[in-house]
Amino acid sequence: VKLCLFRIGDAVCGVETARVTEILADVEIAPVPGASTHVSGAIILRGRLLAAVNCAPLLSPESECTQAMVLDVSDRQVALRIDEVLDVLHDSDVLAPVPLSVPGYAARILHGIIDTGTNIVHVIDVEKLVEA
Amino acid sequence: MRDAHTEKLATIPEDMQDIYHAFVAETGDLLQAAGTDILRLEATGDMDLVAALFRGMHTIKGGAGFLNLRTLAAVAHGAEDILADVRDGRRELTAELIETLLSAVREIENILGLGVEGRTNAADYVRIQATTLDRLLELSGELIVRRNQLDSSVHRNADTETASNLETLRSLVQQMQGMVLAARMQPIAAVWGELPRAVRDLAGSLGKEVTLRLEGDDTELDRGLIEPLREVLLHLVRNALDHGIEDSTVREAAGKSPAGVLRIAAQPSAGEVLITVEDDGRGINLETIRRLSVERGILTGPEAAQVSDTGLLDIIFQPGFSTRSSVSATSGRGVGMDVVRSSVEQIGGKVSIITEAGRGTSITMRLPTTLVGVPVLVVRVGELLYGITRSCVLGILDERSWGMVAGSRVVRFNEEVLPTVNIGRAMGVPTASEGKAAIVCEVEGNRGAFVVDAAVDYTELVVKKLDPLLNPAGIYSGGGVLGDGKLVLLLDVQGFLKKHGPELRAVPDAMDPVAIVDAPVDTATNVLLCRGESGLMAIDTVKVERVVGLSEVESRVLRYGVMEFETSLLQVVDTLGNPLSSLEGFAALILLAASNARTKTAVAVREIIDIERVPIESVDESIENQAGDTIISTTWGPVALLPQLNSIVGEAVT
Repeated sequence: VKLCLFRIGDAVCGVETARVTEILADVEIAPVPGASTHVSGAIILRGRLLAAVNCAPLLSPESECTQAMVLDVSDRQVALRIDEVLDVLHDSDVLAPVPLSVPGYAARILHGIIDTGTNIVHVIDVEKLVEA
Repeated sequence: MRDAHTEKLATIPEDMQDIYHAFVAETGDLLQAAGTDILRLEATGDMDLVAALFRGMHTIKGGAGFLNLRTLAAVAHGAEDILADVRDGRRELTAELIETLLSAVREIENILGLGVEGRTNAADYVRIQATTLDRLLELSGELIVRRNQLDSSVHRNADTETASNLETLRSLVQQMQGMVLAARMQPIAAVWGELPRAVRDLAGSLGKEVTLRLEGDDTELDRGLIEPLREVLLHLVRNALDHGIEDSTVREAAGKSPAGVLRIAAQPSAGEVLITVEDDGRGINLETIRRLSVERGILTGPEAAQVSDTGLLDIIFQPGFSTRSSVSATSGRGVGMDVVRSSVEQIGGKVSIITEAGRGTSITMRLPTTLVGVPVLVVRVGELLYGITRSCVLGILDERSWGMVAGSRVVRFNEEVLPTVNIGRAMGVPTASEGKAAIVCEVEGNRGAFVVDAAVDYTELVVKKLDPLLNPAGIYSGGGVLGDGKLVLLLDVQGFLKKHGPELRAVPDAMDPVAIVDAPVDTATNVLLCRGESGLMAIDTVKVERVVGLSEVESRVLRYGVMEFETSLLQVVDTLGNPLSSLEGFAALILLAASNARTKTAVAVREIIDIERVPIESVDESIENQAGDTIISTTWGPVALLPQLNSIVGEAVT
């Protein structure tokens, strides 16, 4: 499985490349009161309204997240707020479990971690991300 | 193909050739019908079509067997099996199954050499996924929004070339939107198809004789409207058969034909579709409604005595008016008419009713043809914009009509005291004020008001679904984007109140302000003389709330015959009751005092001439002219009293 690597604050994260449909720079997010926790609002994308998921509070609270990554999740698309896209990771068969010290609310959205030597990649479980 | 056909023909014995030709011709017709039926089946799921297809395939199989065309018989037999499974509920009708059926049709055509010249219908259809059509509509809506944005940003400093390119773009986008909408149109036959069976079954179970007449099955509607319409129609059919059409013995005793006639007709009319459901049954007894509405506490005694026929019929549409037991005990009709009205309004339509005792009832629905946008009132709360469906907005009140009851804010509206919900406070939206406007809404007969910072605009919104992540509590029915790119969150009023507000509830007579004292008997009344669409006319001033000269009116913007006026909504009609789209050429608005109206109504007139005091007798005992108008005598000569004032109000608000 190829992973698309990106940064949320200090955290290097990855999702399956196949899920990424596009990257939006300088997104405008319209607030939607009553939305789920970790959803900053709606992004208007070519006539559709996408939920802007913000997992920075879980991974790296200091981040600005001016970009967004549009992801295919089961029957719909959501936008994940990120800081920037880094790279594509080809060899990703060394998925390690999330260390026990990571709090449950953050561990919940992770498949696991991959240590590339230079970075520790947070591999995000996209399906968990969209569970309200 | 042709060769295969010739070959086949060669295997047929000489003496069977004529039979073979007849078989090919018949099969050609059957297949053509089958091709259309399969596509309609896919669109409607109508089980009657399955039965028709089964019969067709069975006929083909029989003929093929007789002529010893084994492959053909096998193909027909296979299709027949599938259809039998679907008919008996052993298999579900899937897209693959439809495809299999279509390919069976094609195969039979090929075997008989009908493929080239015989098939016309099926080849003209391109099958397109329903979701693709929905997506196309969304995209074209977005395209229009973007074009408008481009328009306003370029407008200020456009050179001629840019301006002309923009104009071309506008026209192209317009054309494309038109094509997309056209592609979504479906003949109403999809709904008509299942009515004969519904009527037959229901008539059978009620032991009544009913003849169904369907008209206008080629009338087209947006596919998104078909499903809601189907449900409403079944509802109305049930009502007509259950409560409208009498038993044949009763009918014969009344000198009618033993079989009742139910006529259901669709007819395009100026961008709308009129759908009429008409029976020749016993009609609705207005006196029964009058009595019941008092018993049920909907009207007070004096109100009931005064209310017009239109007003009485309107009560049928109020929730809680009829319960099953009471209606079947009386001769009324109206089970769930509130549901009918709310369903029709949800798709942007209107419903009205005409009845004649002993002669029958006719219900007319006026539906939009397309689903371009939902009329919405946009309100501002802090920095946010919310939308409220136009059909549930009764009016906009400012601070003057606010009050407090035990520390909770209420508003006074038409002599009712209504609870309020502050949207900003409920949603935790920071606002500068405590709210400056209250939007009075009615949902399923319950009234209440939303407190917001301001009412911003009436507009048509292309509503998109919201992701569950954005709407976990179900307080929104969707979202839309305005011309300037701003997001409008459309409130699901019911869902919102479930979560955040008190249930809206009617507060009957809580403010019944004036005890009715013996008023001095008046012997004369004032009429307002004015010039309308058909010349001089008079309006009884009792029915006038206020007259406003158009020079006093700030906003003259009319949308859908509605304008905003001093924080209220005003439905503006001419003296003939037609909704106006412009006030050009009119001099004044006459605001009608209609207590039961859901929205205020104003009649626009060309000129105000005079107010004249006329004896009451001259109003009451006045003669009627041929048009049915009441004529009163004034110093200006005989003048028609504004004809059917109530029906003008009724027309504008139903």
